[in-house]
Amino acid sequence: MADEQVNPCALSYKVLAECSTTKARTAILTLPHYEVETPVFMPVGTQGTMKGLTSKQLTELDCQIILGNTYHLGMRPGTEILEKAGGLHGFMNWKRALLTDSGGFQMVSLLKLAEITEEGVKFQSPHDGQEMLLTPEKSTEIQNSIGADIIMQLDDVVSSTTTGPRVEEAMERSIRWLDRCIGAHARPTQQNLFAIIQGGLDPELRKTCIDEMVKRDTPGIAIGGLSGGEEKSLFCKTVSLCTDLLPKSKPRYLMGVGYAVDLVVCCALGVDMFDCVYPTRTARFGTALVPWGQLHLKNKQYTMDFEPIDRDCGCLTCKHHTRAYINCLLGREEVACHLLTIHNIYYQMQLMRDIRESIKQDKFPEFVQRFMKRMFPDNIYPDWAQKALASVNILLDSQQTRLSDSKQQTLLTKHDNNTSGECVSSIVSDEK
Amino acid sequence: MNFAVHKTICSCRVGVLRLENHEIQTPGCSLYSRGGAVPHLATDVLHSIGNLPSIVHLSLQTIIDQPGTKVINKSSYNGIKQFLGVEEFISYLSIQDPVQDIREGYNEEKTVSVWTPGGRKKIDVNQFITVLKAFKPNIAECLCDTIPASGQTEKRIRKSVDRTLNFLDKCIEEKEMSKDVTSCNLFGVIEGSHSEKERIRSAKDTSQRPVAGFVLEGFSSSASDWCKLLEKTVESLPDDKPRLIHGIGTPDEVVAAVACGIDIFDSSYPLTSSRRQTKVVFISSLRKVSVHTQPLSLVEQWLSRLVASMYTARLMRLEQQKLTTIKLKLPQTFHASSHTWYSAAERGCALDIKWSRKRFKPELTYSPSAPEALKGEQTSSDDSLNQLSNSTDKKEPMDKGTLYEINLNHSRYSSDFTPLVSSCTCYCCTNHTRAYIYHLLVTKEMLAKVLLMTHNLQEYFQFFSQIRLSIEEDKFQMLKEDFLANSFSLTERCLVP
Ligand SMILES: [Zn+2]
Ligand SMILES: [Zn+2]
Repeated sequence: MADEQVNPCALSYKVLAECSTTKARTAILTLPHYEVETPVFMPVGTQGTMKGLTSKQLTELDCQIILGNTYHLGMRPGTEILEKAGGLHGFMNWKRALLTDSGGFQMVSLLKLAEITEEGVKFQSPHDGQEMLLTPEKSTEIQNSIGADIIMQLDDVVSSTTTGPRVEEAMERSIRWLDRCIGAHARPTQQNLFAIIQGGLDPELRKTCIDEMVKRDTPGIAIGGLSGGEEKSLFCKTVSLCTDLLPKSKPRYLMGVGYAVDLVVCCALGVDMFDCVYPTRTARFGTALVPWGQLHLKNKQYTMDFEPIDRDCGCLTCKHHTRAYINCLLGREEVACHLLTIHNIYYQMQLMRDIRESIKQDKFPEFVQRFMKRMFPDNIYPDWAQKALASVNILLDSQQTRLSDSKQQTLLTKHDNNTSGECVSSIVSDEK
Repeated sequence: MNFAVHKTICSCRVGVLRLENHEIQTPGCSLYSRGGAVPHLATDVLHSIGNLPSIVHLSLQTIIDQPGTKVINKSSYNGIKQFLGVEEFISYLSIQDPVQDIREGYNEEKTVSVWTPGGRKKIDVNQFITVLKAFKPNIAECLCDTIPASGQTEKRIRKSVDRTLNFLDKCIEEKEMSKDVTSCNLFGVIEGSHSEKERIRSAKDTSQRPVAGFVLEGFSSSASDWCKLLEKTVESLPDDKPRLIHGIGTPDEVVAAVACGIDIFDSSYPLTSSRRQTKVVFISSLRKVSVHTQPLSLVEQWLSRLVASMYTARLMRLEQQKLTTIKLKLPQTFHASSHTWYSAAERGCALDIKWSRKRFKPELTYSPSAPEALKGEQTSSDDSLNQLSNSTDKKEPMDKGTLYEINLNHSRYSSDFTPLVSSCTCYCCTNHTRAYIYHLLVTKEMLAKVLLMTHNLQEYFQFFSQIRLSIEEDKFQMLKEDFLANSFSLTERCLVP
């Protein structure tokens, strides 16, 4: 796909279908190692592996692109070994696409001693205590060694709940750092550098940042600095503002988002890519994701529950094992964690497949309604989701409107296996 | 159940055990499981392993509290196999988990204690029958009073044999009375610890009972002359019934036991080389032992064999002194405390049991002049490991794996982009490098254990088919000599200061 690009680029982004109601779209994102279908969820495999799953299992789970963490990989195994191994692809034997973060966020969140200056992120090595500096140039260099299909600029991240001049400073610095990353990027025809929009929850700062960054013409653009505990309605507003302003011809990546409801809402707002540790992390704690919420399989109620996690799920775990079996293994054998990870990743992948398919058929709004109804069978939807969806013309049918701005309910109810319903409206009763 | 031996050379034999629709070729091994799962392996990964045995080994110790009989009875399943998702296997139920130490002094006249994750559990004959009714194993080891292989008084040994026979009689009696358990093949248990007299008595008396086969308990390679004792014991058993053994698992032990006429082993060895473990051990072998050409490394290797087989503390001290006198910097794991031996189990190793006469010739595996030997080996071999050992730091302490193991925790593997074993066709070796495994081990990623288990099991299962083949082709004697000559010469050489 030799598009006419002013700047070198190693991807092509071809929209297959757009939703006629919302901002959702489905596309083929052709990366050096794989043709990724968007919207896509990217599981996080921090250190060149995904929670005990083999590359083969990840492939069979339909993972198209997975994430590696630059900070961890730069420490171990280190760039020298990665380069010798033919990058992270060769090292972990993963044939499909990869994305690496800049390493900055990990440092700020993992290392208390990290300090941000104009030069870069200063931190103490957790291994030998030596003071080290991660500059935009260094981050890019490491990511060039790792060799992922998509690499991220080093950005100055502040917590999304921060207010005041620090937010503006971080946004402006992120623009300057983007320029330095672009300057340092040694493999622009093999790897795609994505810019990261900052600006906290301030629409003006976001606009300024987008204006400046779009000018840099990177192959794709990420929305950063969100999903850090801010109010959900503000989160949605900020995402929506960004997707309105970002060029339609480029992939948009919303960082750190992975709850099912968030994925559905943000797809409606026009986001193409997501990543989150949640599905795999929660598996470690014995939680299975299901269309009606989550199951905490460690609970006693499952010791004699001989149903699969989700009868309608096509994953290996649901085909072969029961809730009781997993309950029996949890906390004793690591296999339990593998089985749950397999299920949770499958769940995320299936959700994204369903979203893509519904956009192709221009039935995305119906899909959203059905999805929300299953997740919130009492029709008590979270206010933020309802508003965000309304802003893109999806109205959720609800009996009691806007009961609260309370947190998303997680339902531990037993399997309810109705819902093949085409029309989602009008049914208000709740069964049982 | 039907067992047919179709070839016997001296005491060693090949046969086939037929049960339901399965054919189990012997000598062979069962598939070790713990708590109802093969450690670290999800079903799809498990089934990617070649030569998978058709017997799955469950142990009462690890499944009696969870899932337990209540859960199985409450389900609509016909036995535990379906609950565990292992219907395609024959199930064998042992009393204890072979990778855990025997705790002495807890068995009583009427009960046997098993130590579950939830604590001690006493099992009497009635409970045992209840277990058989609920779990419905195809083969079950009878309730037994197993004691360690050494350090027992004659009186205790006698008691162990008596109790075990007593349990057997009662179980047979109960079994005949209840219809639900008639399909279970009960194996009688041979006890007797280190007493030849009691071993023979146990074997003879058990043989007179209507058992489907035999389980030999309380053998350990750490006991001197275990092999002779085993030979004597087996001589007192009838030829037409299968013999299963626990506690014997390293390749040379297996070969020696096969020579005595053992048919079935458990496969706990690929998981752990030390008796007790919670996580993993891999045993990674040296494709060629000759890589470790430095004398010290052999001492280390041998020492770790001692560790693995739990030699007495006295011997251990002796060896440590020796090591100290030859100025070997003892690796951390060699500081004596049972806990550290235990933690050694978490070190990642991969098995390589390929034998060739060349490989096991002592002069190739041991050389007094390390640099020279390295050179010679390098030119005479295309093995990548050799190149590697040459290119990486020679000053680093040598590998601590046993003869059949490579400990992949060693930094020399950090940029070794060759497979664990280059000729191996397992998922791990066809897809990943030593460098990657090393990385997974240092970062403590779960995938390390998954991949190493995959390889180790395949290697181990392959080993058994090679043993069978060698018997079929009349080459077992040669194989045995290779293995045993090797381990003995190594031992002798190491012991000489
Ligand atoms: Zn599932
Ligand atoms: Zn292999």
